[in-house]
Amino acid sequence: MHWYTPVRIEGPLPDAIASLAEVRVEFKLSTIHPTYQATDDNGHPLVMKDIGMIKLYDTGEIHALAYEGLCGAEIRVVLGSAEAAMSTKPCMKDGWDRRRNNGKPRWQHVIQIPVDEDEDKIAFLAARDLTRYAREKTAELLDDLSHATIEVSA
Amino acid sequence: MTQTTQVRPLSSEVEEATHLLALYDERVALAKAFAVSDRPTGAMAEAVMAKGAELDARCEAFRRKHYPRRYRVLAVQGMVFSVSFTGRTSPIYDGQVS
Repeated sequence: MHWYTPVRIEGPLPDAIASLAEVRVEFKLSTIHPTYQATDDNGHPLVMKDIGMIKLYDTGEIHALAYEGLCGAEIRVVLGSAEAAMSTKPCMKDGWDRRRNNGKPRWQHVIQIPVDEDEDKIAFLAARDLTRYAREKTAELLDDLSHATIEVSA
Repeated sequence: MTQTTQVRPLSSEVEEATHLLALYDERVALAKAFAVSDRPTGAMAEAVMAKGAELDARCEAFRRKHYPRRYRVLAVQGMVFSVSFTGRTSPIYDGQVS
């Protein structure tokens, strides 16, 4: 599916009334879900994966973009987040990112959910390998820097 | 096809989450009736606003009782999930599965 209908909020309707579940999902993003390691509220290691993105334009349009291959519950999480974004003022404190490129100023937010190792082995391994790669790359760069010489020309 | 991580809430949580989803369904029904009405009235708009305010209050009470370290609890699209301070989502209860 490559279609969507952006929601236009016009007139004096309050924000809460505009929540009519008319947000459409655009399956446009890659099928590869970015995953990474994080920590939960108690400090325990946790693997998260991105399942979609919400773009809230200043014109009132709300675009909900979901990755392909999501199950119904994950799509409903994306839709629900978009629906909640209608009646919530976005701010950077809440994880929203402000973008102004392409002449379309907007707020955008990446939707993430935790991943269980037993349920999504690929995502779990991808996050672990990505973290390991980042550590090895950082160590490699630090090793290069340790042998670097600074030449000062008079 | 991947599966969402299933969180197993307590029985009291399930009851309260079910109540939240019922409130959400009522709010959606009111909003749709308002949207398709030929002669929308102020009372209909106020009913939608009141139901939304009640849902928000119930969600906040649910968050303070069961998930005080989370930023927000949302009951939408037949699912109750929490959002952390950094915007990470964690499903709590799926009304269409349980």
